[in-house]
Amino acid sequence: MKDVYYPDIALIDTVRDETGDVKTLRMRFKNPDTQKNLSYRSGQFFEVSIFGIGEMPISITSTPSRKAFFELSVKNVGLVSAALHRLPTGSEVGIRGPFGNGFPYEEVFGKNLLFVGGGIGLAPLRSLINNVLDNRDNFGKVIILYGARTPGDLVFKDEFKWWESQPDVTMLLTVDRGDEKWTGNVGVVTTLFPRAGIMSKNAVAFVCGPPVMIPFVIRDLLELGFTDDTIISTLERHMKCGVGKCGHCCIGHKYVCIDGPVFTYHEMKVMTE
Amino acid sequence: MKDVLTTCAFCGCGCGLYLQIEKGYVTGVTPSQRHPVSRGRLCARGWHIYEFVHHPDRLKKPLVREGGAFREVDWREALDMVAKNLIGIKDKYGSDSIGVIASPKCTNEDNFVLMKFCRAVLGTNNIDNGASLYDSASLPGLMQSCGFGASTNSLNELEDTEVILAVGTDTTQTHPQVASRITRAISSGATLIVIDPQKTKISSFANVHLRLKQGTYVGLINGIIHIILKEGLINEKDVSRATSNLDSLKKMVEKYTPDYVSELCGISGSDLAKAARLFAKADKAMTVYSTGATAQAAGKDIVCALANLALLCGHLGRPHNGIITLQEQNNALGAADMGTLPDFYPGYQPVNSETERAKFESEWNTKLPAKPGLSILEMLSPGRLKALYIMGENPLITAPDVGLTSETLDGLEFLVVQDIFQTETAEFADAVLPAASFAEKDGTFTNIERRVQRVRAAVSSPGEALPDWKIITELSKRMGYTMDYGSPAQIMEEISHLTPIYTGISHKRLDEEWGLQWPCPDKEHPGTGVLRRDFYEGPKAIFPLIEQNGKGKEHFTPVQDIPLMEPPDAQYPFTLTTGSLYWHWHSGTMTRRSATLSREYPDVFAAINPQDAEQLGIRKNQRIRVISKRGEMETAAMITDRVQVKTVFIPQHYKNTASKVLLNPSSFTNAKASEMFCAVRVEPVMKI
Amino acid sequence: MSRYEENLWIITRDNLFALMEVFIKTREVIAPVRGHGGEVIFYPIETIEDVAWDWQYVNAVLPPKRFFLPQTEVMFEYRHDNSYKITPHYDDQVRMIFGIRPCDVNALIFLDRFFGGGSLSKESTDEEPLFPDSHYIKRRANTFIIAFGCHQPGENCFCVCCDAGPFLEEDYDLQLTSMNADYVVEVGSARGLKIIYGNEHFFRKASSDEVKELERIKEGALNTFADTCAYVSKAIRRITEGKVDDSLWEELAERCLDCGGCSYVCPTCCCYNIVDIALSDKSGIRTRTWDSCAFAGFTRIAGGEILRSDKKDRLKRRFFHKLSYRYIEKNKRHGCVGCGRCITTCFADISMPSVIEAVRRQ
Repeated sequence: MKDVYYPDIALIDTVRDETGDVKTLRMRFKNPDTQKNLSYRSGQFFEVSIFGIGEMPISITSTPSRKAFFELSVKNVGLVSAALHRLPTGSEVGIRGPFGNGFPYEEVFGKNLLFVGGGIGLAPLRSLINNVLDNRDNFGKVIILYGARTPGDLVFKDEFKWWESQPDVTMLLTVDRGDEKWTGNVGVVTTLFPRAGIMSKNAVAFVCGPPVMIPFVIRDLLELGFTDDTIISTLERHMKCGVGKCGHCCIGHKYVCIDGPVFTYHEMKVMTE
Repeated sequence: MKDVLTTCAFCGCGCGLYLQIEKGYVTGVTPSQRHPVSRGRLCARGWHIYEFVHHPDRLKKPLVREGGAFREVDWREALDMVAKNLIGIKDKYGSDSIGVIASPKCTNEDNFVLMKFCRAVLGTNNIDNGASLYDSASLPGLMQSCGFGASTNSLNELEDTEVILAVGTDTTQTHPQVASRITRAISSGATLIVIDPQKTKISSFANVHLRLKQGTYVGLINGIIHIILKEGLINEKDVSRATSNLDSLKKMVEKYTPDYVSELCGISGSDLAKAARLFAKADKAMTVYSTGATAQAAGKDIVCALANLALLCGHLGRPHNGIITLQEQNNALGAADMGTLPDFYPGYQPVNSETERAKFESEWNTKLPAKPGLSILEMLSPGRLKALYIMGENPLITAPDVGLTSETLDGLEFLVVQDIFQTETAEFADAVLPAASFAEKDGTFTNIERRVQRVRAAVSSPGEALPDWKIITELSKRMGYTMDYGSPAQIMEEISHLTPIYTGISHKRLDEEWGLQWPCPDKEHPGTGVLRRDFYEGPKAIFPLIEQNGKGKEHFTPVQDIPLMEPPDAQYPFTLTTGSLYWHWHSGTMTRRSATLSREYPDVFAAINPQDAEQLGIRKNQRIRVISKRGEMETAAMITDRVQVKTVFIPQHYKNTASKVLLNPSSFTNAKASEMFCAVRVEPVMKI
Repeated sequence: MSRYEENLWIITRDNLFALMEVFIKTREVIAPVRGHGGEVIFYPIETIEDVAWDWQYVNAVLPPKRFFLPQTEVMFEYRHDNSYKITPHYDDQVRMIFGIRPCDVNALIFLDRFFGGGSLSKESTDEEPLFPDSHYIKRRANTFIIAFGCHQPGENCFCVCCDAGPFLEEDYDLQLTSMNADYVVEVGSARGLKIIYGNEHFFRKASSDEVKELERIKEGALNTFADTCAYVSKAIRRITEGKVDDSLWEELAERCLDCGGCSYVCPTCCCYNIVDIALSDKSGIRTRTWDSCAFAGFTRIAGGEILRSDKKDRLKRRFFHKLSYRYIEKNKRHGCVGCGRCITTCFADISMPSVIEAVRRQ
């Protein structure tokens, strides 16, 4: 019987600074077979251990369509993430997972996709965006709307050009507060909606971002004709064990770590604290 | 697997609990179901008390300072070094250049041995314990009024009383067992009167909540007494039979008319009268108070005023009638019982009494100093001492002025700290001695209802850590005075031999019962739940102090209100106060190392009233600056109407919170009581 | 009847004592014993005489849950020399729990399903658990259960209302019920039957009169319970349908003292925290410790925010989890077994019966 609490060891190959407090770690399992056999869905997460400090859930930001490594983007917010930020390349960390349900993928073949991201919330979306763009023919129109507090808080800036350059992709950025160099949109992410050419027909919206952002985005999406079932988002909970046992992420009848973290707005609406 | 019954080492309630032992580790806790205090219940602190025991930060080897750093040494080297230095300082500057701080967290046996070491070996009465920082008021206050310095009744009596007067106590946070008895009493129809500037959980159950201005307790209580006298509600029978000095009390409270008191305290006259009538007319009423009342310069006066009130109405010295003082530390009472006080031997036998001194001198076979020693605040004032020996205390966090305390510690020629963790205070030490925690030693704690209870070793100490009493006896030997105790049980034999209130107490008896409440004057005595009037008429040795105040009678001690040392003004319009959170305890040395407890409030904060927050444009969690005449600190804002308008509350448990930097250092100069208040102003770090 | 074997057996008191002495020599036998001041705790016994044989007691504060999910459990040990080496920790102690009451056994069955231990009886057709918890499963597999049917409820007992007693119907090893001076033995698992056949000289088959007598005892026991069970189903319905007004939870929140005791003493509560402890720069352990949804910090996420910060929501959550029909459906039984421990341990009289009563009155 596999011990679900037993972490595998992974190595940090490269560390990329995304923003002042977000780093993307490119990693691979130390055991080549584990890495080779790794399969995951966009939207799933790993439980990442810094031994002696603890474990935290981090969504996988790399795409399952690229196999030699996996990537995790980490915002420095607590003890474990701070410790992760201190680790040099070559360091070993513990990994359990992948856990969680992940985004629908095959299920949205042929659909128009709208991605609405805020801040570090782009990390799980990026996995799906790259997976979609790597298999571009399977999907319809792609719109990516992304906002952050300041230009310095935008993550994955290196990839924006490539995303934009892909066929039939609209990509718009916004920040809450610009700086002297910023010439783009200023305002919350929903201010991008009117000029993004969003059509709700045959479309699915993926929304990830800070808790304050989600309700406004959902409200506007509903106005645009999206339905409770075509709005898909993730819940942030304290997922300690990842396997539906420890109880921390439990909400309503759901364990976010196994029933989520991806939920339709329909599912989220009926959950009660 | 093994379960070991012991006594909780957090608050003064003294719950009975089993430590679960697995392969030499404490892995959990079970509340004792039949224990008279715990009754199958524990608070969150109790349930998680095991979490710090095996924490990797535990001190495992003695450390001595070499240059700027500590070096691990063996016991022989550490003790030789400490002995040599203490002897050197004693020879050079005299015994009274050395001070000792004992610990309300350690056992009675630890404290007794340290007390004996201080008086018999170091030759000084400069000994006090950490509880005096928060409550130096109860002991003299209650002694002066009632002849003893402890709770008069048992906790369970609260459930069957009619009126409970709760003064300056956030009971659910500090003493959950007491709080649950209060709420149970209310469920069965009791009336609750709360006197507290803050809104607390228990105040939400109060029939009357007198939300007085900070620093006006005495005025308010005198106002209540004024009404009771005027309306003829005093208990004539009790007052004439058992108390003295009524006339001077009457004279003192004359000026505390309802109008005067309403103005002074900021409360309505009708509430005041309601409280007075409820309390006075009850057949059974009990008073509980805590550090909210005692941790100020007027603390002793407040205690006296409460005793006056209780005496006047006959609510003292009978079952379900009495005063419960809620000491915050597990063994605050025991440490005092053991004579870790500058002016008392164990059992409150005064050091300046020749008979008592002669008794101890002959038992200990040495000359003892006659002059009372320095209080903890005096010892922590710069320049008073050359050497300090601190057992299980962390004054750098708990004393009222961290700046002044560090100046004192810095200025010492020699500092020894004996503790379970490398505390903030220990950073200043010349020698740090690793001590056993409550889970690793035998002994006794005495809870707030005078219940002496067993503490039992459940696991072995980490590394080379030793029980505190053992360390002291080893040191004593090196200083030429042998204390030959084979076990804490033997120490208790000496305690009971020398301490009239403990005479009937032995470990063997305690093992057979759920502890014994002192006074326990002989081996058959069942202990004393209620300090009854008729008890005073018993052997005078038990309460030698009775004689001081008035022929075996309780005594009215008229007191008048004094303003706060540093009242708010135009420039510093807020009153800063500090206190405890439910999840933490004392200096946080243990609770900050518990994963479950520290998760609730990992960081310090400053609580302000919503009205003030709005006025200052401060939002929840916003960084704010709290500034006093002496310094400033930055922290996150918590916004709650639990704190009064124009008040800031900063919890005491955190390192580097600087809350103490802001507090009033004049308490040191006055050196009677630490006052946990000062005037501050509050501003957002960044305007939003 | 879903006993593993149709036959009932009889064991005399002397034979039971003799049999137990054999077990005590070969394994850790846990039983309710009288501790200090006569209070009852589950504790390893050295002789069968240690057992609190009168059975006249309120349930021990802590259920036997701690032998399957201890308050602190080491999950693995790590060491870093050139690379991390992780060594899982499992408890291999062979145990017997003797004298466990049906409510507590039912709680174990609840936990079995939750942690993936599976049913003891072979007939079970449970689906493979999603993430089996090997720590729990190993402890459970190593523990033999001798349950005692209850003749008479304790003062806090309400197992009948939760379909969890006073006698077991399935998923035990052996169930003993005292009858006159002897004990009737029911067999609930293959393991149980093996004990009978391995020690056949201690047992005899029950007569048909004795079988009838047992049924009579069981019925008699049922009749000693107060009939409040209707209120339980009402509470389940109202909680499931979200029809309980928040004012109820607000009122309870006013009283709750945040001790977490309700979760700790509850035999079906099994939330835990995961805590690493570094023992040196290079080594340490990962532990799991009991946790409670009563604590605000329970839902604290990285960055500091507490998601269920209102205590009213936390209390509501607890009773929702215990009583919502969808959880009962998922777990195939109530989240409450009627042991009455929350009555003992709550500072504020917030217990399952008091909440059910409050829901009824609302």
